[in-house]
Amino acid sequence: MRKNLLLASVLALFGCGNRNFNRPDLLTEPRILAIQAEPPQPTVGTSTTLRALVYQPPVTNDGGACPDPGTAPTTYAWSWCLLPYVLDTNNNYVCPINQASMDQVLAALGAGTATPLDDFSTDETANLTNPFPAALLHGLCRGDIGLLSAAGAPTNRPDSGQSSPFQCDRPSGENTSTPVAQTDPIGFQITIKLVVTPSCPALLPAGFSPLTALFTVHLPTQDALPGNLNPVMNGIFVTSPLPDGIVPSYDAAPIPQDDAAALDGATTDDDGGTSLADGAAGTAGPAEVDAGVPSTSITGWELDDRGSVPIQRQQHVSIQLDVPPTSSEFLVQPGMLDDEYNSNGDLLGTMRFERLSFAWFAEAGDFGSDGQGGRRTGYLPDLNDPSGAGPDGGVDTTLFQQAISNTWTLPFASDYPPKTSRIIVVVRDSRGGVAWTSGVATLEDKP
Amino acid sequence: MRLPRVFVLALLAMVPTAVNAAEESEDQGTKAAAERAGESAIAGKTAATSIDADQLSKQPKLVRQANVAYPKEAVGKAGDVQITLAVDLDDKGSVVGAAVLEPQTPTGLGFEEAALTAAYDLGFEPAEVAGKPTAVQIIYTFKFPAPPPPKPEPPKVVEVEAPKPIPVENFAGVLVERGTRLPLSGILVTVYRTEGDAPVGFEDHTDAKGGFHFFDLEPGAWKVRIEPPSYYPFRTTEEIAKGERTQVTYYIERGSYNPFDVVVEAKRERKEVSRTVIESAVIDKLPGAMGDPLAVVQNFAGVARAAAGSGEIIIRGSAPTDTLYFVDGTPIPNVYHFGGIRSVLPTGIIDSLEFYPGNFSPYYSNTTAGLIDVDTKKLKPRKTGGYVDFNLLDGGIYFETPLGDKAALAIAARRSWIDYIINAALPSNAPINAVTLPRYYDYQLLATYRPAPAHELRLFVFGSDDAFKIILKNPGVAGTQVVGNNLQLSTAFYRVLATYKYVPNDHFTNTMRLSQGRDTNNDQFFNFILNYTTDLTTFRDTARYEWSKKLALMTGIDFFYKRDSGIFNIPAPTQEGQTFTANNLADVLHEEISGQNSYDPGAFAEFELKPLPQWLLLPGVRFDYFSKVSQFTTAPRFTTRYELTKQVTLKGGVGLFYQQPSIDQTDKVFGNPALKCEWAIHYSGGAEWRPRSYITLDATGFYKDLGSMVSVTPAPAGGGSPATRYDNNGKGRVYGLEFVAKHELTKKFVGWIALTMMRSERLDSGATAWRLFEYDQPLILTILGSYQLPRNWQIGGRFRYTSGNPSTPVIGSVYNASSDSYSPIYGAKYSTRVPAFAQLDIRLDKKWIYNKWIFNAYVDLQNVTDRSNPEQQEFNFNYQRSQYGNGFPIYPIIGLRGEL
Repeated sequence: MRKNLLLASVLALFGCGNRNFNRPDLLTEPRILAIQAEPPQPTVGTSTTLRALVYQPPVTNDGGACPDPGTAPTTYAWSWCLLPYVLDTNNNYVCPINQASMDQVLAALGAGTATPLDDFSTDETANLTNPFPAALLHGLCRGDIGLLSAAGAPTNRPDSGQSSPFQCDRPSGENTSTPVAQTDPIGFQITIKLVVTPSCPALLPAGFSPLTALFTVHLPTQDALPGNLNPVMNGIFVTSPLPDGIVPSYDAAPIPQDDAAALDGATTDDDGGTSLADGAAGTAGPAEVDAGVPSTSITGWELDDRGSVPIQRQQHVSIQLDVPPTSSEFLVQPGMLDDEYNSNGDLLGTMRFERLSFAWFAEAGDFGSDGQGGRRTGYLPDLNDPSGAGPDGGVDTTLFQQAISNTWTLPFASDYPPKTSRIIVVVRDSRGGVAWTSGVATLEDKP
Repeated sequence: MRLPRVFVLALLAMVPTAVNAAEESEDQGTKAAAERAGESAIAGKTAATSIDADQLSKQPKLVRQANVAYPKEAVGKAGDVQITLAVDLDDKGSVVGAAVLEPQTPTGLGFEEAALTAAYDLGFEPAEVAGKPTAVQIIYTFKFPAPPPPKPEPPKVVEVEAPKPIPVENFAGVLVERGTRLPLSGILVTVYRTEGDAPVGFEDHTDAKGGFHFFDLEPGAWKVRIEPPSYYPFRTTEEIAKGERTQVTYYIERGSYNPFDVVVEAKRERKEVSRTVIESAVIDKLPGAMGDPLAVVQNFAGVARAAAGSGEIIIRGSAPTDTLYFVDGTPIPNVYHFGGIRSVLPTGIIDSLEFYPGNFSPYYSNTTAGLIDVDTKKLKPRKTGGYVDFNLLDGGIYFETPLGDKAALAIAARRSWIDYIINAALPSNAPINAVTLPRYYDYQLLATYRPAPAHELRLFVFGSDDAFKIILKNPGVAGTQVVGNNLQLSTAFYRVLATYKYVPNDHFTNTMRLSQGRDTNNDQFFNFILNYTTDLTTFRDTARYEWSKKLALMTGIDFFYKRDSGIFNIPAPTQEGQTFTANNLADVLHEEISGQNSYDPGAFAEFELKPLPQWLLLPGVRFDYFSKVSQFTTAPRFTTRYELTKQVTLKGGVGLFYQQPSIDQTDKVFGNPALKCEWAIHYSGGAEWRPRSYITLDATGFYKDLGSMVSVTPAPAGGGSPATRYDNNGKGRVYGLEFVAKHELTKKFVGWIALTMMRSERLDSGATAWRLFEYDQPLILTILGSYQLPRNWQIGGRFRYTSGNPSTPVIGSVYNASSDSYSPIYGAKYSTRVPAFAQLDIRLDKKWIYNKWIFNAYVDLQNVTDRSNPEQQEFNFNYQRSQYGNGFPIYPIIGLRGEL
């Protein structure tokens, strides 16, 4: 046990390998960076829109040119499953319940038709309808699985009857020792599978194309509980040092076409924030670069898609996300993972606001300095927040400010010749909510 | 008190051996006076040999009376008076000495003097023993009848021999060994000089405390010469002053302070097919082990190489968690600080280490692999002493002292200073708040008491404590799968072990051991919690009775009791052959146990039969009950050895061994409470050849059949989760050959070559094809030696070459968009192998000997060639790229030790 914990910690903390070998924050090859469901918790009969943030590097990247750039379209295939996907003998992730069984289940449950399990969409986005009433899912989590069994679905229990075969979100105070019949789940997990064939699969090692990603959607199990909302991100701002006289004097230059990365993914903010470029290679420019736009709420300059803000190479630049504190929602019903224990196993308290985790990506440069920031930052709510403070008053602003701040240091031209670098930040809350934002910085050589 | 030899001889020539006898005469009482001989000796006439008067073949006979007169000064002051004397006769019958036994009262009237004077006028025929004249001491009484009124007489002049001068000790000293301060007894000390043209010299041998004494040396300069064998010659000059006593202490330096010079008690007769014993003096100096007793085991045949720093002992293709560790026959849980940095017992407290890779005695239970039994020190210190040890990892002290003739005490303690080093190197802007940086300490107390030769009591108290706690400044670094920013590791244990050994005669031995202890563990990694306390009580009684040289029986009972309490909030532990991935973090299981009892009583017996002097048969059996799995087991075992010649011995063995599943495997949340014991059948056979008394060539073949192995239950064919997490349907097989060429401990050298060729395979539950064992290493070669150089230098080297561990290739990965992590997709399990490992280590020791202490410095240079040794395959975050993670580069471990 002990060894596994150590290993787990090491993996979670540091990954493995040396600095250049293992850089999850460095965007160098096609990657799926995030999947979002909007809304995150569709109620019965409603649908959620699924979209993915897929990064594809410039086709002339030093990593290797695409043999036939721009001709092969990026393809998408969306699937979903009531149970976690498992690897079959051919190393494919498959749903343990096939379509026929699923139809039987739905018919038996009286849930009507549902979105097909496999390849229900081949677009960049997909809509998935929740056919399950909350009460039904609540019962399934509590072991009321007779209907599924009658329908031929696998119902074996891994722990001698101690748990349901389904993945459910347990409320605070419950744990895996709680008898399954006594659980009071606050969410039912279904799994989304997305298979993406990038436009230039040659950039990936053999065996790693197409890209496959799994994503969990938490369906509601209690109608009375308010559904989760996705966090909100309004942009990335350079806060220090401020680009001197950028508005009147910035000699904007067009973004070289070859340097323009493709970033597939719809905008997630709904209040007029920066739109992510939905452009495949060759469609983004050349473009006239306008002056940067200073933020009205943050002392800084927003990184837009056109590289309006210049950043000097080899300079620690402070950057900050425009994320409203309300992105960390007040938890009417905290989950099991919101309970925090000390090493003696004593309950220290329950976090009453969502945890937020920010993942920072860039085509070049390093995040963090002087022990602050880094590839990941996060907001861990203070246990001492009053449980009744509500969404408008309970967030610890100091901790929150640390979570949305970072430093970014761009490399020498000799190490990274392109004149721009994209930065992407993805935020995830602790209940399946996701959002992202992006911007491009123009790299200036050090005078 | 010892007299100078020359002087003693002179006295012996002058004073006859006194024999106490009785003499009869008409006016002498006859009585034995054996006790007087002691008085004579005290008077400077050396120790005498006393014989009984009945042993005289002829009693001394009075042939000449002495004339004695009533003292004039007594006339009118006293009446009739009798004075009784002890009279020494030589072998010619002449009086050579006399002393008053019964004085006249009141004294001072001259009767004693008159009697003493008259005694020398007595004449005797000598006494005889076996027809030969001999000196004797007799009792003789003079009677002084009261005289008539005195007539004036001229005073009588009596000539009395002047008393002999008492020898005066004016030069004395003590010989001790330089550095150790141990007394040197039986060593010849010579003082000499030239007086005129003639050399004059005297000699003495040191007593048990190293003391020597010289008497009546003439004033002036005397040369002192001491030349004991195995020591450097010692010469000096002392000035003897008139009327003064010169007292000296001489520190004699041994020719070699070789740790191999240790006195090794008679080794136990070899009974097992494979058993390796190594003494602490050797452990302390072997290269590559940094003086760590358990690390030395990794150099033995049959032991696979563990990952650098892991401290794991992988015996004959079994999982490292199957290896058991004992101290004086009592199991202990933790043998390493932080899982592998340093073992919890310093070499100072141990006597030897026994390693059993298989086919071991029914004395041991609950392992299907092998075991290590550490014997604590016999503790018979001749002086108060110890050592202080410093190295890059930690510092420790060891102290031992005799407590009278029957008891002794030793204490030791050690603490790391890694925390101080890291703390000093930690920048202020580090991403962590350091609460407790890695710190460990351990302590030991050993006391022995032997009230009588047949009884021995031992008490051994020892424990260990490791702690580490940091708080991450950036809680987001952990990602979304885990919660919190605390990383804490705290583990501690203690044991109190009492032993009573009863050896009333050569035929019977009984050893009773009782131990009590507690293991505590408080680990927290983010929201993962591993917190438990285990109280353990063990009892073991072993008796051995030897009816004759042909038949003996070793039998006993043991009882292990455990009480577990704890809280666990962690992912399911991975099993052998399973691969841990970041996705396991999402599958957190929670379990709380309180006062969970388990008890394992057992009984064992083993006969030692010698139908022929050269043939040893050891049939045995062990019975156990394991309450955790509610299972009785019967494990018959048999080994035999046959001396083909004085130099060649054939050996073989077969036995059944059981082992309980681990606590997580039988837990209702983490595992399957219905699991039963795993079992193994060990087969081994081979031959030993001893062409020289100090050289052994050993070839042993072995096969292990492993059954009922705990294995991960496969998912049902149609998908979904299996009914249980684990079952007992796994199998295993291990087979191989071990070759050992060993040069036993001698004055100059110890070393061995160990070559193991083996294969270890597993058949998982539900699988149809055998796979390699996780640590399968087909070839393991170790060459190791340590050589004593002049002037207390010592050099050692170790070379290792082993096959790499099996490895499973990654052929793809899938992204978990919820947790922002990747899971690998593996190819055929263990279808590739990590490149081979090769490493050369060198160790250099030097001792500086001072009068009262010894300073020892060493450098243990690991990986001298700075070879990049791949340990395991490492992958980047999305498994698209891989590289081999290497072990330690060249690095020195420097240590200093002061021995008192």
